[in-house]
This record gives sequence, C-alpha cells and structure tokens, in this order.
Amino acid sequence: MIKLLLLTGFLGAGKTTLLQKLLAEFRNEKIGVIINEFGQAGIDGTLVEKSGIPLHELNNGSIFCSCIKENFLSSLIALSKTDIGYLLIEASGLADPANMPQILETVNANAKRPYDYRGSICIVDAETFSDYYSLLPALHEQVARSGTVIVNKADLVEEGALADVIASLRAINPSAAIEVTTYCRTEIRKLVDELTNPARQEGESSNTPESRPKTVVLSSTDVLPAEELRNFLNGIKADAYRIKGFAETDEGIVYVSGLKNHLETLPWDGSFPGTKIVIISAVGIQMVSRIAKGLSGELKEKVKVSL
Amino acid sequence: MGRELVLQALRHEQTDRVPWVPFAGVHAGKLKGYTGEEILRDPDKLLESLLEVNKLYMPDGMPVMFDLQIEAEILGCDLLWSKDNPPSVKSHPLAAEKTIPCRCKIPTKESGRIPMILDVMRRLKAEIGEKTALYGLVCGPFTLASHLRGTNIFMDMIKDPAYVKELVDYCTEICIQMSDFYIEAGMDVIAVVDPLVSQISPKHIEAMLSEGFTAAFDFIRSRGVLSCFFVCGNASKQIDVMCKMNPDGISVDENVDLKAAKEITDRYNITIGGNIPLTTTMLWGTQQDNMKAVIDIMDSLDHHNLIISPGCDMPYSTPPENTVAVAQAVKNPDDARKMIENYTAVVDDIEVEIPDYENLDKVLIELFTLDPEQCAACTYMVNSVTDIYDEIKDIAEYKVYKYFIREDIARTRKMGLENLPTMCIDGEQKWVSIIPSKEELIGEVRKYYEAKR
Repeated sequence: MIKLLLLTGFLGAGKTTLLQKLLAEFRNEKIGVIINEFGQAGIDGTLVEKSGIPLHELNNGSIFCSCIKENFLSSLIALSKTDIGYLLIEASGLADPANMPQILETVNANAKRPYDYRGSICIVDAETFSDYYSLLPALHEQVARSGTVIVNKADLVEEGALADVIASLRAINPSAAIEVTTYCRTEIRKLVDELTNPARQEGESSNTPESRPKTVVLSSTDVLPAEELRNFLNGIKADAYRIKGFAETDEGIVYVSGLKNHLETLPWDGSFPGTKIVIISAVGIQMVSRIAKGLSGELKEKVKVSL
Repeated sequence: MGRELVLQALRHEQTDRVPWVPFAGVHAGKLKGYTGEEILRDPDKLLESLLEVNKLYMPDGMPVMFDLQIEAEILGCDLLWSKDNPPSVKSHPLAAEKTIPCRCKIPTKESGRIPMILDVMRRLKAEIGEKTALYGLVCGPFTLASHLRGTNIFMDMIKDPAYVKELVDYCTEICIQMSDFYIEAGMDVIAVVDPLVSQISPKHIEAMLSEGFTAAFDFIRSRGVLSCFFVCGNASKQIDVMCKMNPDGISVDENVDLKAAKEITDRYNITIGGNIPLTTTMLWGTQQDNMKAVIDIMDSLDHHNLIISPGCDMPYSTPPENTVAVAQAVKNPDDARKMIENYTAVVDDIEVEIPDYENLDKVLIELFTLDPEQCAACTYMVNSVTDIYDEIKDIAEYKVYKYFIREDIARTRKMGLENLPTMCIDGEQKWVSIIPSKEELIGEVRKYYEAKR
C-alpha cells in the first residue's frame, strides 16, 4: 500500500517548508508528490523540484473543489501505478479536506495499489491564525480533520498569544497532537510515524468555485529593479492573502514570499522558471486595480499583469 | 494617419480633425455578399469583409468582430444564428441554478471561436494595422452575467446582491482574459461592450458592477493599451458612474443626448463617441440625412475628446452609400455643410392606425424595441413579458414592434416615444429602458384589466 500524507494549512503558514523537510528526511525512499495551488503558475513545484520524484501539479483551484477534483482523482490513480512508497500531498491554502475519505474510497476502487491514508498534518501560522479563523471556514476543517497540528512561527508571537492559539486548536480538535515550531523545525520522522488519522465523520468540503479567491500573476522577461519591486509588493501585501514567486532582478534572482505584514526577497540559486509572482487577493477582483495603480516607472514598463 | 488620430483622441490630446470609427459588424459581410453567420464563423470571409470596410469607408479605427455572444457560447449558452444579425443567446446555463461557474471554464486561446478571431486579428493587423486603429471587442461583465443567468439576474440584484457581485466579478475575470488575448494579437483599443448597463440604476451599478468594470479598464491600461466602454440604450443617467470606472473613452447611441453627455465626460477628461442614429438615419435615411446627422453632431460639440461613430453595431443592410456619406462628412465637413445647406430631412410618414385601447377586450402590452434579437436590453424587455405570459394570457395580449421596420418606426413616432426599448400598457408609457420585475408587471396588467371591467 502507498502511505498517503496530506499537508494542509493556510497560505504562507509553512506547508512548502515542511514539504521540503519531508523530502529531505525521506530522500532514500520512493516518494510521489502532488502540489495543489490556486494560481496558474506553479511556484511551489519549482521550490520542491528534485530529480526522480514524480510530481503532479494541480493548479487553478482546490483539489477538494468539484472544479478540479476529477484531475485530482486521475493523478491519484496514475501515481498508484508507480512504485512509490509514500505520497505527499500539499493542499492549497484554502483546501477543505472534509471529503478526503470519500475521495480515497473512489480512488482505491480504481487504483493499482491502494492508498493507506495516514492522516493530515495541518500547519498553522501562530501569528495570523486568530485573524483568519473567523473569516475562512476552510481553516476550521483543516484543523478539525488533522492528526497533528504544527503551530509554526512561534517566535513571532508573545507567549500569551501562543497559548490562546493552542487553546483554540484544542477546542476545535481535542485529539490532535500539537507541535510548536519555528521554521517547521521538528523531528520529521517521528512526526510521520506517530501521525494518527482521527476517526471523524466525513463531510462535504466547503471548497466550491464561489469560495475560490482571485489570483493575479505578474510576469516579465526583463531584469527588474529590485528596490522598486520590493516597494511595490510592500504596498500591496496588506491586500493579499499570499505573495509568492521568483524574479530576476538587478540584485540577482530572488525568491519572493509575502504574507500580510511580512515580505521577503531571498537569493535563489535553484532552477529558475522565469519571473513569475503569484498574488492571491484578499480584496477580490479589486486586486487588479490595486496592482495596475501601484505599478509605476520602470516596473510598469517591464511587468505584465495577467490572471 | 487614421490610427494615430484615434489614439490621440483616446489619449485626450488635440487632433487635427475628429476621428471616424464605423462599427461594421455583420454589415461588413453585406459588402462582400456574405451572411452575418458566415463572417462570424469563417475567418477568411471575415477578413475579406473587413478589408472591404477599410477600403470603402476609410475608417480611422474599426472593430474586428462585433459579437457579444463569443464568451457566452464558450460558457455553454446555446446560440440562435441569423443571416443578418449577430447570433443571440437562447439558453442560460445558470437560469435554474444560482451558482458561479468553475474557473476551469474561463476561456483559453483554444476555446470556441477564439482561435479564428485571433487569426483574423493578426492578419488584419499585418494588412492595415499601421494606418487603422483596431478595436478588440469583449462582452462586458454584466451582459455576460445576464447571458448566463437570464432574466433572473434582475431579481437577484434585489434579493441577493452578493451573488450578482460574485457572478459579475467572475465574468470580469473572463473579460480580462479575453482582453489579454486580444492585446497580444495586436489590438490598439479594447472596447468593453455592455449594452445592459443602461438598464440598471447608478446606485445598483456602484454596488455590484463598478469594481469589476474598473478592474477591467485598469487591467487594459496596465498593458499599455487604450480602453473604451460601449453602452447602448438610454444611458444618460449612467454616464457619470461609467466615467468613475475610468475608461479612456465611452461610446453611446442615439438614445443619449450627446451634448449633455459630453459635458459630463469632459469633466472627467474622458473621450466620448457616438451617436449617428442607426435605423432612421443610417438604414433608412438618404445620403443627405447622414451628412446632416454628422454635421449636426460636429457643430454642436467641442471637437476635443470626440469620436464620430454609429450609435452601435450597424444594421446588416445599411446602404453602403450612406456610410460613405458619413465618412465624407467627418473628413470634409466644409464640403458636406454646403451640400446640405438647404436640405431638410423628409419624415417618412406611413399611415399607421393606433388601437382604440379603451374598447379592447384585453389589456394590450406593446413592446417598442430597436431590435428584439440584437439589442440585449430589448431582448430582456420582451422576455420579461413572454416569460410570464402564461399567467396573464386570459386578460392580456402583447405586440412587439421593431425600429428597423418602416411601419413600426412610424408607429413609434406617432406614439411620441423618444427612447427604446419602451413598454406601453394600453397606450400609456410604463417602462422606458427599465425592465419591470415579474410582480410589478403582472400587478400593472391586472390593474388595467380591472379598470376595463
């Protein structure tokens, strides 16, 4: 059987970081990966690219939403025909995995080798969880259906606030193990071995085409001015759930990662898919206007906005 | 050069003369003996017809394809094709289910008729793109939303504005995606064509439509291309709110007093285009009528921020000589002014009989339309009656009049109607450019019936 692990967590909580750590820990085993992103551009795929790993990228919606669920099922069936021992699925930030058991039932009836669902690891951003929890029903389901909750970025909050987050998580899911981390630093092997699959009733996913946030993609074939790019992204980050991507700048190639009040551009020496930055809007279609108005000077000349 | 003239006007610069942009949609086919359906489906016939438009009418700018059903067709609406009109939408996939379509349905370059359109755009650009500004027309988000949801959308606007906003935002994504394709194919101007906007109050527009439209115009601007907002129907009250959405230009039809509208667009430094009457002048008028219409517009307005165009998509059978006369008048106004000096338009007065409303057994609903198939606002007004007709058929009858039929034009005049579409009940004007809700309409018909008894 193929051991299946699901990684959930809101945009920017640290799912890709955890996925990278899992891949490093399990580097001697045969692993398959499914990455699910909202935008069209596969940024996370580039971040975890590693030779020999069968990687399926499912973009443009949540894998639990009817809009791309069919592709998700096809990927699971295709991967069941390979010789992988583990399948890691990084769900999109707003994925509601309520219908995972039902999906696996369908898949296992058609799979060459069945899947053994080991459970879901939900990563929570200690700093923003309380703000987003009331807004986004999917976050409740992610926590409620997880075997382990990782409370990440613990270094960014006061002790009292951290205790409040943990208390909220306990209330939502009393049986899950809770790990408090910074940069997802934890004993990965132990985390996977001890993961449990809580026996909860399956339900209907809250992911519908309506609940899908709007995404905007910035791309360019030119070298961008790094300082102007940072200023521009800092100007719009408050209106975005997440900013993520790569850019070729006059300071070299950078990996851009932004979340609410944080924005970082880090030097990047991995493979470079070209300048592409995905912005997941927290203000709906208005993000197009904010971006169009925010771009100026050299950046405006060189950056192409698309959906 | 013509292209530069259009771009200057839309950039709000001074121009040497007023630019001329004929909207030859299906009419382009007429010039080469093709039907509307043929040129909207066959790239070679479309290109051949557009080149003829360019040769014959000497436009400074022109649209490539005037068909607001391209996107709707891709999203699953069935179309009713016609020989002398663009197709119309005959089924609405969201009529019975209030949902938002999947993002996977947003068109790609391979969807529906898009490959053919992009092919024609590129070829036309190569042939005439240097001298003529090319317009890519996209269906506006609200008209597209109504294509998907049907007449229910008007009730949704009252009962569930959040749903309408969500659906319009989704349609805006499509509008942006289509603009993106057309910009890549070399279009100089993207026109967002949304006839139905004239049917909605400014308050409801601001609540449900403005964010989406603004995003579309901002997107087009971010790509270094100019934008236009085409509306038809009596949009006089909506011009101000349309300006706030920040397009580079607005184009209106004969229902709008261009002088009053231009005072508003000038305050926002937005270019206005219009508004030669489509049927009375272009289709049925003489060459002198057409020259006079142009000269009247040009002499009543400041020429800064102005483009001369037909009110909307030209009728298929518009006599080419009338359009030629318009082109002449725009380009050589002094000569045209001399030619029409002593000319007064002759009103084509056909005898029509007005019904004796009081003595009819049933209530008579009369729908005065520009064209019930082609004009979206007219379609929805007619549907508002046909959809509920079963409930009132024992007490009422209805008639549809079309402003491209001579008798119907004479009747519209005799009734003293100034704007279309208009719905009259027993000879009294009840709804002008506004579509009544089901309850309102049935209530009004019953009231008239009771009065008869």
